[in-house]
Amino acid sequence: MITLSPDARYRWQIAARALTAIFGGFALANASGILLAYLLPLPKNEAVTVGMLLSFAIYAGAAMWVFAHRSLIKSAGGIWLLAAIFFALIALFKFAGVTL
Amino acid sequence: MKSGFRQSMSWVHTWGGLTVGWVLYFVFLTGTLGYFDTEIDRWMKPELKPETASVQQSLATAEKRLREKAEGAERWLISTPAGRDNPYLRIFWQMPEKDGVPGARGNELLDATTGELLSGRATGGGQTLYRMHYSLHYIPTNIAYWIVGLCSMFMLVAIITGVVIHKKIFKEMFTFRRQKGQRSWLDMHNLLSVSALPFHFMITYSGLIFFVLTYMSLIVAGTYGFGKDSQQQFSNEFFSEMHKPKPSGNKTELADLGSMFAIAESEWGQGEVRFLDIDYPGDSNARVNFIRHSDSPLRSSPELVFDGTTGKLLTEVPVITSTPRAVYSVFLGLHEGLFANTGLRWLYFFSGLLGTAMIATGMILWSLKRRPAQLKKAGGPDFGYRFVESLNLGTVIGLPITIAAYFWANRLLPVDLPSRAQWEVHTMFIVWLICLLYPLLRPVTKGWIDLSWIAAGVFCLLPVLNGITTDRHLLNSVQQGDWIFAGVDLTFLAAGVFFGVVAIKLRAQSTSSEAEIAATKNSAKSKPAAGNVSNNTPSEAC
Amino acid sequence: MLTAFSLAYCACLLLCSCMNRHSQQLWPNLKINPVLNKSLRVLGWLLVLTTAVYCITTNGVGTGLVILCAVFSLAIVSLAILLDYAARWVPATAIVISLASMVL
Repeated sequence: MITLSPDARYRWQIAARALTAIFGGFALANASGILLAYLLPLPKNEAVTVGMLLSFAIYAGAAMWVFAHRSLIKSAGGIWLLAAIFFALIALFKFAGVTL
Repeated sequence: MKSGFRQSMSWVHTWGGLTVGWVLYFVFLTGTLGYFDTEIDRWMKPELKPETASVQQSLATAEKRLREKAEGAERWLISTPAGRDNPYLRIFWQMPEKDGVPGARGNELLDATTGELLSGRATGGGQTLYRMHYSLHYIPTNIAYWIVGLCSMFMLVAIITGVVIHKKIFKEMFTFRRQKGQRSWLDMHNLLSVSALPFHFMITYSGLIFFVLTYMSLIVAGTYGFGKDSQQQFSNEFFSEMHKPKPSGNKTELADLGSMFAIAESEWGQGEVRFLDIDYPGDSNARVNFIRHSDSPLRSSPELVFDGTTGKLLTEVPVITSTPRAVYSVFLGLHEGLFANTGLRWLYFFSGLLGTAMIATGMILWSLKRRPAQLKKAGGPDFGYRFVESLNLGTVIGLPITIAAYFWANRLLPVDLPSRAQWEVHTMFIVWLICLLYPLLRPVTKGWIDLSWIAAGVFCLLPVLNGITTDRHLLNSVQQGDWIFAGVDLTFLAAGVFFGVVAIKLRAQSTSSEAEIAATKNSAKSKPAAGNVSNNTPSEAC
Repeated sequence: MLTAFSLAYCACLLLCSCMNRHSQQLWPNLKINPVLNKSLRVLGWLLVLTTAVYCITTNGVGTGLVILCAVFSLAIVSLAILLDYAARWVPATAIVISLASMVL
């Protein structure tokens, strides 16, 4: 078991949050974009466009969320979990043959 | 992360902003200059006189040249000289793809009367400067897009968190208090941010949307499927290019462009055609599309489609086909501001400068806030702090000097220098490097004053240099009513005066703060314990 | 454009006249009572609305809204800086710009 000094712990925590904000946020933004395209009652092309236009707002929201909570698990874990759920839903839609 | 939401957001704003501030400053400043790209183009080619040829003559010249250069092309574009956006006749061609290899493409500026390539010095012009704000320089463009995209994303987060942490947006809307040290800088940062908040948000979000198909290509892949064909299908639907026929392969003469142009102008009015887009010229399925000037933020504008062999008007393509696409188009149109007349263009330029200054003041605040604690440190300021301080100086004042150097190079480099246009840019980055290294020679506070004076000098002398090296000096331009040339010269002068004022203010401030530092050092000696308390651990610094 | 700017500038002037800090800078000798304060605020917002209507009717919704945002940016920045450096000039500037926009 490695014990980290408070300073080092702080640095690792920031690194984890920053990486989650950048990559987790990106994954979540893409996943939400695709999911929105599936769920919106619009023609395929328009639904995809809406998904893409909103994805940056979702990305920004996710990045802020990662830093908003005190607990690393709740904030960073939440982003990754949500992205995983969204991707699972998309896979389910594909598997079930849902068309846009 | 911190004890409260606002504190956490303040941390994100501070450190997120610092990480990418320098790139954003570069992007904002070069992008702002882009609002006057064609004006700068013209200033950088002083030999060229304004085009006077008629539209019909321009079209004939363009067609002749395109037949020579690009027979059997997939696409020709012709912009006839008209107004601010196209001061000269411009042609573009794209050859068809062969065995999976993309066809050759090229573009030229022509003298509409003689048909010769426009002479004049080789220069990057305003276009090179403008392109830097999204594709940077010296690095492959697709990597640059991602760097600028990531920085824009940071910017978006910084804007939102900035609004969250600013407690008195309305109460302090008009507040600026000078000579209050850090407080004044914060006031200025807030003023610059809040006053043009809609612009800052629009420019950042729309900048991201410009490259949405690159950044968020996974969304297309996740819905249309992976691979080139699916991407193509999406973009065909998206840009509604379904109506375009395929080439037949049978050669047929292209109908007279001049008479089609006349029909287009009778539909829309004189001077309303922005450019011609010709698909498969010389094929029996050729289509000639006329694209109209956009006079609103909606970027896509109406098109008239002509049959390229008969010259008959086929259809008018509607501007908007769906709301999401209209939103997309409005964002892009707002970003580019091509619809803006002279007055609004200046306001765009001004808003861009506000954004640039907002970023600069933000970065200066970061170092000002930490300065007292850093100066009290036993071994002198940290490396990280000194690094930020030097980079701030080399960028905030250094980049304007760099841009002035680009204009100086345009006038001073020998006209027959090989790859002259590239050397203009090299000059720019060499000067920037010198500015970035300048803090190694001089203490930063002194460096700020020095470089501000240098910036004032190089900008004020640019109109003089222009007067010496060309016959189009400022008085001449004003007399002839050439407001493009005069405007560029006067803007240089204004920039010079601005940096002169900055230099004077900084000198006044540094003499008063030196006295202050001396005072704090004395008090620190008498109470050593008090000085150490403010040596923050990184976890508390924000 | 100048008309839009002068409207925006006057609107901002009225709005900051009813803010404690700025009303002292602008009118050091004037005692502003709550009724006057309220009416200044209402008048200010009415002028904001007028600016919006003017921009949109003369330039269309899209371009009009862009101009509206842009002139308010310029008005806010110039007013804030003038208030600190030369508060006495602020009302005079408003009159000059308004007259100029009428003449030009």
